[in-house]
Amino acid sequence: MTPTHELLLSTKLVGDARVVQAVGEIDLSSADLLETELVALDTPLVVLDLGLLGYLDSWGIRAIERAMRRLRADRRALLLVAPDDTVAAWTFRTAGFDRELLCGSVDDALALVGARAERTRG
Amino acid sequence: MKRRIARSTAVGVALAVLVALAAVGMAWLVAAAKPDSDGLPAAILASGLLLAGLILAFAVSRQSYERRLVEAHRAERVARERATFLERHASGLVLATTEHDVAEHTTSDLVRAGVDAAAFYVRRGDRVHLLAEAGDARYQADAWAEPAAREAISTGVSVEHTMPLGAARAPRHGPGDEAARTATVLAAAIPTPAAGRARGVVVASASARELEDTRLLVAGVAGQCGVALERARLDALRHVARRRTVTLQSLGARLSEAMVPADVAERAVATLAQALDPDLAVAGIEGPDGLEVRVLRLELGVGHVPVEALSPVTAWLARGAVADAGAVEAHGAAQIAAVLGPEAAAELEHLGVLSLILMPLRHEAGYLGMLFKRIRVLGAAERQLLEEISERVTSAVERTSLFSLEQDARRRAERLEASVSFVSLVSEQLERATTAKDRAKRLTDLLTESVASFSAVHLVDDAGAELVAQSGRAPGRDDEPLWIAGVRAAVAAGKAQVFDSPAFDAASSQALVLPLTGRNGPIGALTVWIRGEGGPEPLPSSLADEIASRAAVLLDNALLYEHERDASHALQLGLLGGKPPSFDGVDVNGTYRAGTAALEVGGDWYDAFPLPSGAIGLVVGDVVGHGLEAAVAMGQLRGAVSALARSYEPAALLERLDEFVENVPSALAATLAYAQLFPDGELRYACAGHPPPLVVGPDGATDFLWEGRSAPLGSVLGGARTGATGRLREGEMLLLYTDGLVERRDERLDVGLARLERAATLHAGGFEALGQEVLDALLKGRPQDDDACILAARRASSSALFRHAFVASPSELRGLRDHLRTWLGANGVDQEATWGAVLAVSEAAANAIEHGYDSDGVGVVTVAGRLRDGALSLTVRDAGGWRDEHAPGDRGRGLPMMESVLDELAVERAANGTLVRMRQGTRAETMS
Repeated sequence: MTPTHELLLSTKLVGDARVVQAVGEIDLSSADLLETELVALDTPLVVLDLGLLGYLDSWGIRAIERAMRRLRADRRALLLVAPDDTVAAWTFRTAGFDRELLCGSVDDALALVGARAERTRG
Repeated sequence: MKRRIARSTAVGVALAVLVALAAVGMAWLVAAAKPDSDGLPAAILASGLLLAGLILAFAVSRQSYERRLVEAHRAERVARERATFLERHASGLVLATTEHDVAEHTTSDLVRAGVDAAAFYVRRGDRVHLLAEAGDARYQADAWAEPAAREAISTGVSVEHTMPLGAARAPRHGPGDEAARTATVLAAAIPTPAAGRARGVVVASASARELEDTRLLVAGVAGQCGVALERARLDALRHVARRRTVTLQSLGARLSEAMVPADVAERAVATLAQALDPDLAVAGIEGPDGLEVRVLRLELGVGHVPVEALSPVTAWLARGAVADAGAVEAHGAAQIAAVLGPEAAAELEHLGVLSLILMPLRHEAGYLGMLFKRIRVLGAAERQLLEEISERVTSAVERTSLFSLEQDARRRAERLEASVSFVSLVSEQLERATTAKDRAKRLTDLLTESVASFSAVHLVDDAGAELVAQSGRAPGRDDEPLWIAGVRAAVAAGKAQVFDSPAFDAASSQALVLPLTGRNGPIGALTVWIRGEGGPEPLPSSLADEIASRAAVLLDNALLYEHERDASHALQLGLLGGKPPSFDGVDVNGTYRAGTAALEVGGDWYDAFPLPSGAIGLVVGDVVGHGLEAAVAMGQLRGAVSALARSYEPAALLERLDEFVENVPSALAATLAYAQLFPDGELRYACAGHPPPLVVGPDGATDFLWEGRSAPLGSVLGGARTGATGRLREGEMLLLYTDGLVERRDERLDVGLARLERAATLHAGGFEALGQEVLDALLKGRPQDDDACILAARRASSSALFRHAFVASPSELRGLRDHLRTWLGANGVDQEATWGAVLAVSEAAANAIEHGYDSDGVGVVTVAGRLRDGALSLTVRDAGGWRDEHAPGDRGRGLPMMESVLDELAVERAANGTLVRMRQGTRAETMS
């Protein structure tokens, strides 16, 4: 748990994935911290749950993009969770992202990961 | 008047009926006298006579009616003129600050209104005193007016005398036919606030024709003068009270240093010169070698008169002083001769001396004297001051004489010297503290350090005795009732009380309670407890008395000073107190803060008042100096501004004030900013030597009004007064303030003005608390020697407005978003439109923080919003320099996001900052 002025991150281990739940607001003041926290996680898979987020801005989106790139370079993956009616999903749409980028729930994301793991194994 | 006309008509008709009856009677008599003749001619004759009588009666009554009508018109005109005159006279009295002003203004106005002569008397004790006369130069006030004035003053009601014109005025060419004609002398008593005798009299001489009108005129004027005199008296009292405090304090300090009688004389004349403005002050003090004489301010005659030339005069003064028991005042050659003898009087007359005041000292210790080249009558307060001065000088003489004697008797001298130096030490130490409480504490500390085991000071007031200071080991609880009883007894009897009890063991200790007696009676008691064993030596009672009496004076002075300071504060708060009146469409908010470093009040003030034009008058001013005088000047100036503002535009108002301050010297060089704010937002303003008003927009934009500037009030180098115009738009705010807010000794004014701009921008959101917050922001943590005030006026806006200002730190963004969400929610904006607006504003604000100020935590970002008919406009403003204008690559995400949630977006970048304007149209269409 990393409390900041406005962002609370909590993580739990589900199989070989870290599920990070972000509560609060992500903006200029907390974006760098988010990126650092995500990259520092030690599992091959990271699921970032933005469903309870109250606000996300362009700095936050850029931080998530950078984290995604750095994890990918490390042969790891970052999946994003945000149901359609949330402010996070709305913000991603506003920023012009494809809605396919977001999973509707943590279970969806883990299922996706499982499917991918199956594929890799098979 | 109508009733009188009706009555005269009735009289005419009655007359006509009488004439007719007489005619009929005569006709019957004629008819009866000639029984043989026919009755017809007699009847015709009778009818003719009857008709003639009726016509005659009608004519008479008609003529009388018309005459009454003309008279009624005239009376009405005269009444109107009288009302106008009284109104003008009252507004003139506003500018009168002394009795003399009131008197001169009144007499000259009365003469202008048409009386032959006018005189103005005030009561001094049981005597009447002529202050001013005006009109026909042949009238000699003492001949025509004084008898009536005396009578009016002693009875308290108005009187009228009729006297031959020749007695009223000195004939120009010998006695002529004037003796045959008469003058009516009208003396109207000026009322006092309390019932009793009259305070003064207005006297006028009138001709019989205008008697009734003049009577009303003089009575009206006298009523107005009562108020004006009361105000002048209060002003004078405050002045005297202040002077008295300063005089007695400085005298105490001076006398405590005096070691020999000559020193005392020197210090006494300095004090007299300072306290009562004589042209010459003299003090003769009995010393071991005879009379020590000191003279100060040799400004008599042409050039300076050497001391030698005056020595015979001082000798006469000494004789005159010793001959009499109390203070002697003599005015004019005749009275001076009666006191000093013809020779001395002639000498003084030659030197131009008109008044002489002599004050012998008790115990034939010497005398104090003053000479004036003008008639100088002492008021009751001044007389008391003189007595207090002489009292202290006498004590000092006794002390220094003793000191001188001791030089022969060595042992006693040593002891006394120690006592004297201890007493001096007490005086000196006490004078370093200002409040009565601090002084009391210093006294008890000093006593326990040197002579006592325990000491305490009680001060009494109406509520009883209060322990205000104590040092050392206090008496046990069991002894307290005894102690308190001792304190009460000392205060009541005015005598030292020695008491004993098991604890206050009389054998081994001395417990004294000494009364502290001020100038108006007991002020408290001093307890000194000396424990015997191993403790200090018992105190000689003479020394204890001396300490108590010295301390009493110093404590009394401090109490008086505190009282006066409280009065000043009350006066100032009374003047500034209360919320300004409320105005339609404009919020007004004034805040005053006293300086903390100085104990005294300052002369800063503000005022807001409605004007007949529908505009609001707003003024902030700053009178030079501190204390009661400044507070009084402030009150007068404030009154003058609001009175004059009714008829003058800003620049013309300053011109009138220039004239006003000529009569109120303590208001000279005052500065002020005055503005009229009209309902449509038009501003007319002028500044006399005052910092420029500041306009603050709802979006935090600021603009100083640098026009309409001229010199401080009454400035000789003034030049013409100018005014300027401007405009206050809806939601904009005008700030007037005093220089205490922006001036610091160690920096240029523009730095302070920039600081004010910043504070105003930051705090403009909450209007009610604005004044306090801006004062906090600018004055916090600084020794504030000056007082400061701020007056804000904001035009209301018809749209829903949002305002938020913060310093350039990323952690401020969340508060901004919370505030904006709340405002949008309160105004019924739906969720997606809210998300869009919050995103756009937060993005723009984050840019300002990052790129405008580099997150310096100092620069100010302001966000303003306006919602009108479903359309939302928002601005984000910073005053930073844009650092990386062409930020590469991934910087480019924010702007497209903002564009996608907004209908319009414009970014205006300038050298002095960036302004982002955003619009969100209809809510439904914004999102897709």
